[in-house]
Amino acid sequence: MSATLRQDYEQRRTGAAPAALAQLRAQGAADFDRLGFPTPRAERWKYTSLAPIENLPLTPGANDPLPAALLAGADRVVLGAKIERSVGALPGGVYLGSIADAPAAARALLGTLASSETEALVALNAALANDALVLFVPTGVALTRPIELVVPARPGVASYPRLLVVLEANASATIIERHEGAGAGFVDLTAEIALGTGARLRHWRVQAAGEARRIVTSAVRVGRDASYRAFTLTLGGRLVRNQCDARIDGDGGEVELDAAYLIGGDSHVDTTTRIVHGAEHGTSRQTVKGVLDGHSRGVFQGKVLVEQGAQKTDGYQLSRALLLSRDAEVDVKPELEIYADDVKCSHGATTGRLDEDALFYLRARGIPADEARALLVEAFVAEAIERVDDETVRDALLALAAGRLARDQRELAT
Amino acid sequence: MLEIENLRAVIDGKEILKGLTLTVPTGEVHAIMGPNGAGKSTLSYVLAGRAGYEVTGGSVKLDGVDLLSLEIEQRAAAGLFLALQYPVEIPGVPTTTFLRTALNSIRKGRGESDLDAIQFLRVLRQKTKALGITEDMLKRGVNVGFSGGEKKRNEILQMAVLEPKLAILDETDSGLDIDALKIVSEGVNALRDPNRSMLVITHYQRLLDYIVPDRVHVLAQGRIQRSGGPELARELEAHGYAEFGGEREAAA
Ligand SMILES: Nc1ncnc2c1ncn2[C@@H]1O[C@H](COP(=O)(O)OP(=O)(O)OP(=O)(O)O)[C@@H](O)[C@H]1O
Ligand SMILES: [Mg+2]
Repeated sequence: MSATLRQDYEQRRTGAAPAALAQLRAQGAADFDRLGFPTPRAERWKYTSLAPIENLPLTPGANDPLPAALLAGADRVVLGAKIERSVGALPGGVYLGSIADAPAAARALLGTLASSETEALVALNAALANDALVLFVPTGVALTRPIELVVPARPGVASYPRLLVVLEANASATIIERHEGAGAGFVDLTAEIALGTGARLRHWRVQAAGEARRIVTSAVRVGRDASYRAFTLTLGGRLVRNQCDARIDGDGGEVELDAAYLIGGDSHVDTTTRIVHGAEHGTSRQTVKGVLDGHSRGVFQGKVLVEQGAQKTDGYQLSRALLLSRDAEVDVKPELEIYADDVKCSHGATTGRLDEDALFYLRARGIPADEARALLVEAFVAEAIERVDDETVRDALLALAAGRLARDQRELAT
Repeated sequence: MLEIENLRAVIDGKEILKGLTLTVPTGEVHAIMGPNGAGKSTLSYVLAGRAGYEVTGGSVKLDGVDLLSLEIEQRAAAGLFLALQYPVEIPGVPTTTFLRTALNSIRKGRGESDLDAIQFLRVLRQKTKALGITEDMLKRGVNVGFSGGEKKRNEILQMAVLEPKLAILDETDSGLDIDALKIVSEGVNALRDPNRSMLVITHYQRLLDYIVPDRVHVLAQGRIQRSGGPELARELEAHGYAEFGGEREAAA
């Protein structure tokens, strides 16, 4: 027997949860009941249909109801139906764990950054979240080891992981998020991120290929002179949506939202972002590169909004897609909305095919056609991956992208 | 030995090569001169196998191998090298990666093992110095941000690394200043070899003062109209192509 997402929702919304989540869940359920799933009439959902999620058959009772903590060697947290935490000694005052025991300063922020009132998938997440993983780094503390978060998708299972990251003044941290699992499962992740004055967060995300449906909604607030840099590498997935709404709240804040996706088959990958400059001297950077084969579809909706007082804003946005097959498609909608008069903002969007002259040149030097193609595609995505300012992570991402291309070549050869 | 016989090629329904016959014996350097639009670059592209050119007749053999039946990369593996009139820029693919991948592909065809990064750099260092190609240029994307002259030198570097049996140089001298012309010519002369043939396409006698050819051919209206020794180039410089039905080229 299987259930639809809607039935699964009805069954789980009344389930047990930590007291710290009670208000969030109640509000989320009320909001989701009112909003329902977004339809293509909603502006931000024009190009992405949620039918593959609504119709996904789920196995009832496949969800573990409550989180459990698990402590061991590496700084690794699995955000499954339960939070499995294996983290070494953390610097004093740093908290990484369930919302239940989180510092009050962090708890107070839960549900205040991501809007369940207007975002249906945030509401759904809120309604069904079993727990929330909190990373809290107090003033002046630098977390040198990255925190690795594993977000699994299991076949027939819907999961609603929730993340809250609070970096106080001049604190710093790196989060590596690995979205794993190739089976037909659904993950609705909501992340809320608040960066205090001078704080610095690096947020690197890798999403595995396969049949998973993943909706990621991040809401980020960047304080004065704080810096949030994120990169997402998507290697596939039946339906993937990476939405990030970032707001620069303090003067001199910086946001960088980069992404690259390499997809084929029936993959659908949607990158929807909104960067609001609400303070002076802010900087935002965005490079999104997509490589599409088969019948895959890419969506990029990127809005940059500069509020009236946000003078001296420096905004840059580039979206480029490379179509490798006739049946692949991409919808690109960059948007600039500027209410300040002294700003520097630019954006560009291109969609193209492999450069035949370059391909000829490589082959004329003896490089076989498939290898030549892979070289060109790798070079294309590298331009985005190179934005990652951590050499180890950057090399790992480049290797993952190259591996993905090598796998495609083998598939074509067989 | 390169043997082209009665080659005909069409592009966009227009016949450009109209029964071209030419032989370049192993170890010899031949020059092709001819008016703009005569079909010189077309000939080089047809030999290399570029898409868009339809061969409607004739044959091309390199050391007995039928080039026209091979894929582009197989022709390179068979020993053909074409230095392009307009080298292509490839952002994001570093020159070293490009060259190592190319060399290893060609070595594979010759039944030789791959060179690792260190072995390759050793090979490369020897060859870059004489051509005045810097480390920085090697790190950059292929030809990206290179000046016209640097692009041409990069073509010669590739030829030096890949060691082809037959090299076609399509106007490698165009856009070079006097010093660069010397560097490039010396690079080419250093690669003259009893086992290597070269076909040098040029508009200018000047290049042939440095790279002295064994034979000079005039290509006009899709055919070799006349062949002779190096003195033919001087004659063309003086009288132009009028007798072949073409216009005299304006001096650069
Ligand atoms: N894609 C094309 N479509 C139509 N005609 C073409 C195309 N490419 C080349 N041609 C024509 O083919 C003829 C030969 O061109 P080609 O480039 O081979 O001349 P060339 O001898 O190399 O000239 P140049 O000395 O100027 O380099 C020209 O008339 C040119 O216009
Ligand atoms: Mg030409």
